Amino acid sequence: MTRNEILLKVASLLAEILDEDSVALSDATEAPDIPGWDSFVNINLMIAIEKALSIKFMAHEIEELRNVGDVLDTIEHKLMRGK
Amino acid sequence: MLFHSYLFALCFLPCCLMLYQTLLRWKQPKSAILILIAFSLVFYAWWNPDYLWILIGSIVINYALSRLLIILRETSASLGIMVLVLSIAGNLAVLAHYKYWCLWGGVEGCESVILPLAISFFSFQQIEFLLDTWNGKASAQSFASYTVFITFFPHLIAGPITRHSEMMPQFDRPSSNMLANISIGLTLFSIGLAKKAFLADPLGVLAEPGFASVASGKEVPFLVAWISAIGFTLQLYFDFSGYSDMAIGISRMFGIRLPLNFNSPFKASNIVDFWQRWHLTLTRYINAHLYNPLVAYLARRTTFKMGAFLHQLTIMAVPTVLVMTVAGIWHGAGAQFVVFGLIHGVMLAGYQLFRWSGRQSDALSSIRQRIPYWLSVVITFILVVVSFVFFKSASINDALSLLSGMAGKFWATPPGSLSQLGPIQYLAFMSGKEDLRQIIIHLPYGYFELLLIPVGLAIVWWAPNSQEVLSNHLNRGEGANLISTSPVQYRVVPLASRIGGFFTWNPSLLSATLTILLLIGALMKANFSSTAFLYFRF
Repeated sequence: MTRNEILLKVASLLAEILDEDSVALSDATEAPDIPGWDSFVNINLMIAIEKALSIKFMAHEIEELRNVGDVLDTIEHKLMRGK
Repeated sequence: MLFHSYLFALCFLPCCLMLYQTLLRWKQPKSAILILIAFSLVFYAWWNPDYLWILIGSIVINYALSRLLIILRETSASLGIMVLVLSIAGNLAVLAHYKYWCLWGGVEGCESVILPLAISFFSFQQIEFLLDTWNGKASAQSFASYTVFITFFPHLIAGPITRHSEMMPQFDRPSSNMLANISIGLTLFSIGLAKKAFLADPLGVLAEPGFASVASGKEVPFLVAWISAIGFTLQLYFDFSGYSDMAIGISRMFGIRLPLNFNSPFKASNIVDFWQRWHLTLTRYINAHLYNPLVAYLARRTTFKMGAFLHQLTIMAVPTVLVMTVAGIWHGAGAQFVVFGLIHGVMLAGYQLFRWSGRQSDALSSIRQRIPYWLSVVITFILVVVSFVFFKSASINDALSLLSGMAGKFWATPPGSLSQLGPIQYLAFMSGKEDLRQIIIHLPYGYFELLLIPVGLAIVWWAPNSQEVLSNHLNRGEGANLISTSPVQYRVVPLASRIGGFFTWNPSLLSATLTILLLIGALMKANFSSTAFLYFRF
């Protein structure tokens, strides 16, 4: 999966959770930029990513994410290791 | 030692600051750290020297455990997990012993067990440190640097709760911008002191009669009940946010940036929003170590197959109510704190479910959109005021008694009579009076004191907060993370940013003069009628 594909996947999962048609994300996007992206939505997004991509986040990894770029880095890292 | 005592503000702080900055100038960072530790221990022991050993013992044992964990990480993971779990349990057991001893079976002489100052805060921080050590997020470091991380006196007593990874790089690489740090720190300190002296303490006086009445078994009339409840809510906010401003300001004088604790909580338009603005470092802590793991655990083990609503209920409501109840119990052993936590848990879960249902149904969603913004702010505020009645009251019965007054059960006792008037009789009684002053004739305060309520409300709703005033000089800080509940990561509300330009602080002769005047005035006022900070008892 390319980084861009991961970005689109994350955006579509977030859109589904927020029940929006689509959300525009970039590496620099932070939670307060997206209305409704609170701690509950955040943890749900992480679980949705886990289920969609068959990976697993550690609790402390979720705490350290600062923006969407960090999310993509972590996912990329996990997918690489899985291969 | 209280931040607003003359001893602290005029002697302790200047001495410590001077020594610390001088040692840094002389390129003696290690000695500077030792000076900070020594002053911090004196600061703690000033309250009760006998309890100093609890703080020191806790630090020594936890440091030793962290070293053990570092070794076990590499050698035996299963033994390591066991040590980690036992050491966290040990910290919690000590905390529980001091907080809840009296609750467990009415032990003889349990009144002599005094809650050691700051024990919640240094226990929380050390538990997080052990977890960070285990996860490889806290690097190996000396005993001195660990001790300064825990005891650093600006945040020792009541937070902000800091994380090792956001503090230690700052101690390792001291900021060289001394004069700027001191002027910004002093400004923030003065703002916090003014909140405490001019708002929190007088509001406490206003709130007291109502709560004192219900505690002595008397019912409280409508207006007094509301004034007490709103007065206490504003008192708690100005007291705790004032304390936090002072802590962040003092720390900044040493070149250390602490995470923010408040972001105008009463501008929140729903209860989730409120908790993303109130006591941020505790919210961050609870999210990281209780809420998120619990939601993740439940979400990984449940699926939509059980029905969408039931699934949402499980992963939304159960963790929220559970975690808020625990947070409530942390504040105190009484059943009223359980109710306080439950109310917030149910409100948070209720709001989340409401919002989720709004996404499923257009009708609900349009109702939601039709509520004007100001109304949702007022509703959120009133719900918080009601919940804080439980926070302040000595028992559930006291709280219910005050709430029945707020609900309008009785309005006044006519002069020279013992009978209580309900709302209807009260209106009938009032309509016979020409003098409107009769309406508030029973209030146990003067008109001038009453002005504090509208003034306080105007400040919490419309004024920019201290970090907005200083926004040019406080960066968003270290330790921000993705979720918006994190400290220091927030968006300035439009109103404040609109008028913020006028209020924004920059170093100048005028701002220096204003700060000094504010500082002197607030310091004198605080020492004239000095009370401890409300959060010192947690």
